[in-house]
Amino acid sequence: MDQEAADDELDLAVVLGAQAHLDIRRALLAVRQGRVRKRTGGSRPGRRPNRPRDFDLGARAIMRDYFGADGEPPVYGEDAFEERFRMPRPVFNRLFRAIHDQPGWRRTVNATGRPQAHAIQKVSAALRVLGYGEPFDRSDEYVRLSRSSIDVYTRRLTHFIIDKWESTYLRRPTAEELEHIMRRNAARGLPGCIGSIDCTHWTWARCAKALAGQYKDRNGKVSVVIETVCDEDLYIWHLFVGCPGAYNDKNVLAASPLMLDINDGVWPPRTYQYTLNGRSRRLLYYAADAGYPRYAIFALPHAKPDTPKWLV
Amino acid sequence: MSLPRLINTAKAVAILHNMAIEQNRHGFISQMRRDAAAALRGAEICSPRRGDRPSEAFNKDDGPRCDVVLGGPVTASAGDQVHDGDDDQGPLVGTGRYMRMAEKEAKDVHGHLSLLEDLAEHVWADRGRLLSPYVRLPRSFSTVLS
Repeated sequence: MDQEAADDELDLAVVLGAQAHLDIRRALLAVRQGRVRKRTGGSRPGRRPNRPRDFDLGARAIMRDYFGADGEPPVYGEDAFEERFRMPRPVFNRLFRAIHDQPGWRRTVNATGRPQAHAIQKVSAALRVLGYGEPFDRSDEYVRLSRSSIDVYTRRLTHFIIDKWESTYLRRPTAEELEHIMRRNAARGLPGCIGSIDCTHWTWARCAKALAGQYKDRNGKVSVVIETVCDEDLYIWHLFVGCPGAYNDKNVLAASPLMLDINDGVWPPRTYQYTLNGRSRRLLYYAADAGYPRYAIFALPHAKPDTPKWLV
Repeated sequence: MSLPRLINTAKAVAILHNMAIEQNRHGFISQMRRDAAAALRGAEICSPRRGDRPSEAFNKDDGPRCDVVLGGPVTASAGDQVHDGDDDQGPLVGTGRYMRMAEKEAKDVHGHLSLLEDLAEHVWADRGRLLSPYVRLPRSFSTVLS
């Protein structure tokens, strides 16, 4: 027992010593490079006081407009809700229920005793940025949050969504789902098809200058390429983001984890058999456009459709 | 905005998009049309509908489902034995030789052309039924097409 206690104390001493060593090194480095961090936040002489934004006003406005307040129905109906938030109300409710009590999102009281922003304001502001792609200070007048706060909450919201739902909503189909996808595609005349693959360019508005040449696409805009695989409902089963805009579909495919799995034989599964034109096959395929290579894993449009059969 | 933040934003938006699709997919026009065409033919409706069991409509729970994801080592189907690689009956699943064969099979140009040929024949032979959810043709024209 004494030995264990001594070991624990020794471990603690080692950790504290290492931490102190790191702190000293960091302080020396900061002094040497003249990078003494500027003090931010808090009350100090010369600092502009916080704007009296009246957080309650923002929360009340959102509640009145989209959820109803004081027994009155909401000002905007379901269509407007879905248009503004870019999602159906049940999805918003699910997101809000999951996030509203998380640290950093729940309503707090500051040192002066004033209540801070409500979670509905933070979520609404972040969703406006994601939904409309608007600047962080655009919705300040409505949700009553500062630009820096909206920036922070947008980043937090993306992290929260990824942490909580990536393993559920951004993954490969399970065996049951794959069978369902194939059954529906077979009903559409594409037996053995497990989805459609394509790339799109997403403009990168504030790209670093050093990367601008690499990320410039064929239209001269700086962008990143997004590769997706989706089913007929546009449910996204695979997402690969980040390739420079100068890449075409083939380059992106070569860098994609999807192609790595195809090369390794771990995807698509070879456990399904389907019949096409009386011939039994096992290699499932994706529907793709003409930008993709002529591999057996892709069904592309015919290069020169000169007969009605090829046109159909 | 940095590239990692751009990637995270795209992922989060895709997840929200999938949640919205999961909520709304029973009401998509394409599915209504196909279901109507299937009902006319008396065929089985394979689109998810409101009130379907979760597994049928792709509704998901909150827990991670990665444990059941397809794409691990390929298992053998009936009549296809996995061998130890000593004979000529096929490579062991997961070996380098298997990977080379899988890559070769996936990137085969002849396989691609054969697939296109078979798909064209398949669709052409059944074009009347396949087009019916999307175009409303006179009965006489449908008869001629089919």
